[in-house]
Amino acid sequence: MLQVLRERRALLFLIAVVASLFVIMAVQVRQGAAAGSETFLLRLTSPLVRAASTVTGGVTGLWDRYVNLRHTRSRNAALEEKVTQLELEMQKLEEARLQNERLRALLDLKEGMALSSVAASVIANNYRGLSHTILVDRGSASGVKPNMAVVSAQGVIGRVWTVTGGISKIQLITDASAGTAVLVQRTRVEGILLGRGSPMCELEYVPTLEDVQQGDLLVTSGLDQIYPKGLPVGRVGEIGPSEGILKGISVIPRVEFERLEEVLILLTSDLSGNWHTLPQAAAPLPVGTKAERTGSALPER
Amino acid sequence: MGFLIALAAMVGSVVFQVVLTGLWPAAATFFDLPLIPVIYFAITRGPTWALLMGLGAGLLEDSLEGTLLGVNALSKSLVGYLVGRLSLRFALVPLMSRVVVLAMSTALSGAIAAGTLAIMGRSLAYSPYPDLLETILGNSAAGFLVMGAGKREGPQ
Repeated sequence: MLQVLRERRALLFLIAVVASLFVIMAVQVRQGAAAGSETFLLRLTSPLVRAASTVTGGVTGLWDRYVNLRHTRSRNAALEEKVTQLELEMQKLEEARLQNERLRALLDLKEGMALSSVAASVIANNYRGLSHTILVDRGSASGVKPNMAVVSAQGVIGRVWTVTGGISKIQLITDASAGTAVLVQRTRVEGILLGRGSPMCELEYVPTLEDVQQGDLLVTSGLDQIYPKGLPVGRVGEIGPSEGILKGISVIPRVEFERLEEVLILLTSDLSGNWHTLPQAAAPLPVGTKAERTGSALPER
Repeated sequence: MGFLIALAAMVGSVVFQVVLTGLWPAAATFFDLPLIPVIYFAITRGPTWALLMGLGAGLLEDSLEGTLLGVNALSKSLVGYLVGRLSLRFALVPLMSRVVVLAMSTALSGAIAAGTLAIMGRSLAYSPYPDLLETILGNSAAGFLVMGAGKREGPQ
């Protein structure tokens, strides 16, 4: 009998296990959730459950973070692209706003003038070159002719030098061969503004005794038959030592030539008066003086 | 040493099943990982080892999964014992024969679990029948890897 039991040990063990399990299950079914065996085993395995949960949570968290990171990267790239686009858009809008301001100023100037004019855009700027010139996109087709005055809202720019059908070359007042008849607004002292091929100009033919002070505004006098009278040109900079009976005066132009983008070309040939008032008779330029260089009929230096 | 290995395999397979199911819920359908060491030990160590391992792994599984305590223990114990008895009569040394036995064991274990629950008037948390084929295939694939890496010997 014992021999049989020893031989059938595994089978007996199985029967015992199966019977026990059935009893446990039956008790659970009868008692429901309050079954003691279930509670006991759950308590026994709870560290294992907690460990498994921690591992699962850790791996899931790691995965989630990885996925989120990937999403973050792609979102970041998309946002950066959008920011770049918006920056470009903003730059365009800012450019349009600035252009609008400039054109508005130019329009105000045009409307304030009693003279006909045409607006032009600067297509090349040679302000830092050997000759201080700019090219604008208006030519003879728009009625532009040589020696017409070119101005901006800031003041006098120069005169039309050469003209083709659709492009004109403008000689700036700072060009070494340019001259402009001006007067000191405060004291009405007249003089000739000469370009020096540098950012500064010189006011010449002003007697030593005349009242000219640093900061005085110079306006066109209209005597050169190119610029209408009263256009702002620049301010007196330094007043140097006298050259005999004449003063040596440097002038800072009002116009920022390096930043020119739009200009106004005055189309009228009748400049015998103040540009913003009724035309008045202007005295002819004295022949043989340096002022001749500023006149359209006079040779350039 | 053998006992510790068996214990580690049993606990490890259950924990791995729980973790895998937590990460990928479909793993519950594809794998019954605790059955693999039970069958492996049934083939290599005989019915008593398989019975004990099946009982332990099943109870752990029941406890962790929250199903009726004893269902998996019963099914795995029975299947482990049967395979252990089978391995005493037949040399289940070739890998493919072990995988086939595992596949059949998976099916049998599922059927016993479902039957037990039916007897107890409960249903499984998930219905095993539509997914049983997936479990058989998934478990066979996993068993192929595990048993391929294990020792090729019969019960001592």
